[in-house]
Amino acid sequence: MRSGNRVGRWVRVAALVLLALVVLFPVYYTVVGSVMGPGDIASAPPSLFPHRLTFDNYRGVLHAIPLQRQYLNSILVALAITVSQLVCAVLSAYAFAFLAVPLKRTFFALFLLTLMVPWEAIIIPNFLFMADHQLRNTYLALILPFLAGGFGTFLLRQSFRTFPVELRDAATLDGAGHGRFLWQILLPLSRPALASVAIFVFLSAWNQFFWPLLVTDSPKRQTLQIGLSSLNDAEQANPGLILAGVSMALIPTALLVAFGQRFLVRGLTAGAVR
Amino acid sequence: MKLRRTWTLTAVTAALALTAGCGGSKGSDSAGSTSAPGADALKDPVTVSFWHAMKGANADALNALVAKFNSAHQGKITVKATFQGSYDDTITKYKAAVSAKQTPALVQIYDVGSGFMADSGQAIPAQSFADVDKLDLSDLQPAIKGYYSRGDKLQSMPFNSSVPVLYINKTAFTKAGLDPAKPPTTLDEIRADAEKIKASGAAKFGFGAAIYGWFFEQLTAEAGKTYCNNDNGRTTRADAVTFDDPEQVKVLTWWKGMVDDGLATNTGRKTDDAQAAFKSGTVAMHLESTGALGGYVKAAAGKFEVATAPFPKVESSDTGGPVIGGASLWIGGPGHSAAEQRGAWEFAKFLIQPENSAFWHTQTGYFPVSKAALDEDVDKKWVADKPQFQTAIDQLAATPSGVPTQGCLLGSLPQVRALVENAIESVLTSNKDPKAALDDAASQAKALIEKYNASVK
Repeated sequence: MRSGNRVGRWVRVAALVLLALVVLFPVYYTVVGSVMGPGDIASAPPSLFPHRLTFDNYRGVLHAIPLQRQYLNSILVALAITVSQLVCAVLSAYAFAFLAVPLKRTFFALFLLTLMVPWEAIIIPNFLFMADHQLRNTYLALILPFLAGGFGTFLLRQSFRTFPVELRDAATLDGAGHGRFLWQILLPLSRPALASVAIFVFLSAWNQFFWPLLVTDSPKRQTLQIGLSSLNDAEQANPGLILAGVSMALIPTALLVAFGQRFLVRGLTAGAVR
Repeated sequence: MKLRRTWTLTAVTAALALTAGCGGSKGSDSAGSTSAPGADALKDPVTVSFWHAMKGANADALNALVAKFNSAHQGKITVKATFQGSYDDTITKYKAAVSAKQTPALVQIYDVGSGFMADSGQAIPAQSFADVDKLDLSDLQPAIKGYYSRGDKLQSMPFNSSVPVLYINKTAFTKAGLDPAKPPTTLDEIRADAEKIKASGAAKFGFGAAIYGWFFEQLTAEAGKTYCNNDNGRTTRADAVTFDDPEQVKVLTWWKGMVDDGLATNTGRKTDDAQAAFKSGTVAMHLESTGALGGYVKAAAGKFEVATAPFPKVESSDTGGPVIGGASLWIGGPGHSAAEQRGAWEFAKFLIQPENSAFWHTQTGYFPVSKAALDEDVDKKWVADKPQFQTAIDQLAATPSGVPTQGCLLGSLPQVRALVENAIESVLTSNKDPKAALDDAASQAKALIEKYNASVK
């Protein structure tokens, strides 16, 4: 029996290692491809490691786009959107979960409806609004349309609803008002849910492409994703250059996922088993 | 050039095209006419906004030209060039800017966007300026000039131009016992050479090209046939494509035969992948624009030698030639002052001077639009260094002028190109009959074109 268990364990480990390789290979090749010369990267069969290290691609990226500036733009915009959505989502989710608001279900349905409007359908009205108010090519244009979102409210409401009634009752008995309860009891205990909302919002803001492209004109106002796409030449493929750009853009998201993953998984499944 | 499609982009582009169509006809600014102002319009200093899609070395060369122009016109005209993303991104943003009435005075639009621009009512035809100035445009390469003309009237100023060529892996060619000095000139000859290359093991595949609608357009023109009706949309607006020529069917039949017999590899639609196959030496013959030459020579260094040959014909009796590709510059009418319009024209005129055209050519590898540019010393030296480029020059000089090689002017050309790619893909991968595939593409195209034409009437 014991040996059977051990075999089973090894099979499991082998399968997990295999899956990990599948997931990690693109990341590996992104980094390795970025230090390959044009001859190395276009070889058949593809070489899995550089025969000669070159940092030309990195120099090329830094020459082609104002990378540092675009990095800052992306971080600034994504952070602003994340903080604002988090604040809105916490307050509205609190109201939906704990307050006796008339027509609560209707309002909540309206919130959910906003999740179902395809973004593509409102791009043009949004763009015309920005153009009419002379907001094109400003940070405001990048941030304004995303200050609030239904997703965070939905996720936090579900999480708040699973909050033990006893704790809330105890807080009320001790004389805690809404603000004190929210700030000192509910939020500290809802960290996983808050973290997952924050990570999701941050990542989707970080990865935005079409809207920033439409409302910005100068490379200095553009976000990193647009900078990256501009490395893509119309006439000839230059994979090394693009991989170098992607390697640099990958850092914040990779860190976020590496450190936030345990919150991410816990947050998504919170309330799922009830 | 390449079209990188996403469905989002397509949907938004379509929606913007509709709003742009409406906005264009309503343009009622005092400066909204599309007649060209004379040189007297330039009294006060003026800033000309210029949107472009040039990257890397191309952007450096363009910025150098802008700086040269600005210093020559100090205190009078300042051109402010801003990069707008890919060609697709640029035209999408331009359409959005039309509905917001915030267009730039000068914009670089890719070849397949010419139909839309000519229909949009947003641009002043370059010909109108040339007429006002009594400027002789005969120095422009006729094939390039023809592409950007409608009914003999030049619509926009040609700028960065490229032509398709047949790329050859010279090393593999020699190894297979073939003479690189006698490259294949027809599809059948490509097949015969591919058989020898494959049999000799000089390369894994004899031939490989992306499933890219541009090549089908080129082969149609090589066959001396039109791509859309009403003389390729040059006399009046086209309302249907013409995909019923036997040569066009042959292109698909030939391609399928090559793939089925293992003589060609099908790398799909992405031109990047087909380029990688050539750069790695996996395929020995390959279709691509002259714009890819520099990258090919770099990637092949130490592995094999790159040679070029004229783009193939379908049959040896074909009377046509290749169509020019690239992009041109459009001068904005509605919403721009006469001074801005005039400033934009001055810059466009500056770019086609032989000296500047030669600078552009030698810095970027794009074809010079000025004939005289090829006689400039820097240009001669550059071509001597890159003998592969001579093919493009000879090929363009040998291209007969006429409706087929002018290419099709069609507002919905990007979408029609995608339909052709669907057709080729269905023939190559799911055994659809070539004739039926082209017929289906033609009828789908007809519906698209009718919708577009109704929106710009």
